[in-house]
Amino acid sequence: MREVFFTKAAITTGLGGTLHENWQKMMSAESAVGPIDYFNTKRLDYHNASFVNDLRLDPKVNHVCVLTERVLDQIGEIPADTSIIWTGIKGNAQFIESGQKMDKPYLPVHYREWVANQLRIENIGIEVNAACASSTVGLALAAQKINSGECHSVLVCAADLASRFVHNGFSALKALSPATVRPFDKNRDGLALGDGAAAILLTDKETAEKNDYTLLGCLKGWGVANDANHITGPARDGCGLILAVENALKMADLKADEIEAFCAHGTGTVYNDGMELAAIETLFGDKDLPIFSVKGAIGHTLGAAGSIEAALCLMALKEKTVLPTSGLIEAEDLAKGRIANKAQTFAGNNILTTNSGFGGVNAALIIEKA
Amino acid sequence: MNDIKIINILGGGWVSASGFGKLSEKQNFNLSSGLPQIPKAKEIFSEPLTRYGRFDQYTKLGCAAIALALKDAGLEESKEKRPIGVIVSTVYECFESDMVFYETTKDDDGFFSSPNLFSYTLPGIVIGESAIYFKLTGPTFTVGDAFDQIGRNALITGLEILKSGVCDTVVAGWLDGPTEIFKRFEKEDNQKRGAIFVVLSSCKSTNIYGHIYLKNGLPYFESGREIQSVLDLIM
Repeated sequence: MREVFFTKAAITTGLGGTLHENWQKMMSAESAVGPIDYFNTKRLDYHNASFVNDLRLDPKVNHVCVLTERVLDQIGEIPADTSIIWTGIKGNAQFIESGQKMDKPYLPVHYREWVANQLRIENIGIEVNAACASSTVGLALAAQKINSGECHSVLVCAADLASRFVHNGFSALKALSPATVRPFDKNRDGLALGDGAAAILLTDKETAEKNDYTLLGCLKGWGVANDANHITGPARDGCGLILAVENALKMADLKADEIEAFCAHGTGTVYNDGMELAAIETLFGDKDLPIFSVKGAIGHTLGAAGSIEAALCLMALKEKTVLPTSGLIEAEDLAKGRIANKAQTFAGNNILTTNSGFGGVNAALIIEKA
Repeated sequence: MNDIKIINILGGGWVSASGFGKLSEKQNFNLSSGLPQIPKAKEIFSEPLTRYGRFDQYTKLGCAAIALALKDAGLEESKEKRPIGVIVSTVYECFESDMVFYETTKDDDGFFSSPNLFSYTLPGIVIGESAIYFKLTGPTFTVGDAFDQIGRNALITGLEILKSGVCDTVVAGWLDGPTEIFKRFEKEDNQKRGAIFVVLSSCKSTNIYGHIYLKNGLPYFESGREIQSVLDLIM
């Protein structure tokens, strides 16, 4: 079994163009969630999202590609035999919204091909869709391929937009916040969407050494499980998330006590956050475990969320600090003492990050400080 | 590195333009061109699946083929949740359902957007519906296929999961539903529509159709012949 290392990580969101810029602004509890200018929401109850402001200048170009290009530029050169895992989930929204006036319908397979062309590497790899847990599952699958010796290097790449298509869908489900996104708050009332992209390079140790890459973190364990409950609502007892975390702990050969910080999915909806708190209670009991969510700061970036959050976890491990949860005013009872709107320090080397999605999917990653 | 783990094929099921069936009836299989003949719920499900009528075509197609595969493997019924995974290969995902949903968003700033149709604008919802009905709690997600592949990446991914020991049974296969839009994009249209799933397991069973394995990331029959697509398992 080979160890799997994070060796490059780049993100871009409405809050900032780089991982460091996002980290700095999140440390100040800033939020990029604000009024929507790009489409009309007058008849709806929900008017906020997080946008990368200079992204939609030319309606004729594919905005997912523009967003992805920004993280690929930061990643730079990667080994020629790198496999690509594309985890963006709604790359066809612009095609549909444009009245189908684009050169092609932009299937996931088109994005992987585009990434390979941009990086001038062979187009090998796969596309993964696990709803809002897509990047997390993509990272798990990448780790599995490196761990088994099938690959030496895998790039997990995703971008998704705060589109009219998805905003209207979540609006119809009444899952959006009419005001401020407040993950794990007693008065939380929904999520907001956000533009976001991430590119993360995972490699084995040999590849990292050969290319003189800095080891940013080690992906120790992962788990993916379905709660078999409801297609758009999580099991209230968190059974699927518990199973995913237990599988990740088993793979990492760790006990729950050895997890020192937790980056939650934390969408800000009543049901998701309640489910996560139930799972945390079952898994960690009274353990002192700082948790945080970044979705009040950058919105929900759909397929990119898991990779963006994994990249922020690498920073958290480096700084021994978890980020403030933007929007939080009064913590939900089960979150009290764990979550804060200020940065929290932690000791230890293991951080857990999870995401959950429609269709009942839950995914967990355990990252160790390298 | 790359220790070989032999995996059993416990069952299979398909829905195509020529009808539907199980691996035990594979002489009837034919992936003829045309739209898949989506079965009625009562033709497939032993226990009523009341939501079936609300499913989009893609979800009906996938759920029916997954049900046939599990039935063929003798794994259709269970009182308890069980750690069985489901991996679906799809090129076109639920594109048609995306288009149908978007039509409901066009008027009044999207005020009349359909919550039910929006639920089916993710390709993994078919897995969620199957997981609920069959009580499946293993890894569940979709993977892409190149235009000339039919379920190959789901087979590879399913075998990888079984090899890692995360769970011991996976339903893996291919699903591409009706997609009108691709008639305009001939280069992107492989003309293949239907669903084929097989039940792969590291567990022993009294009824095993064959053995396959993964080597250097590629799927092989026990004979050493490389598997090109899920069609190879059913034809």
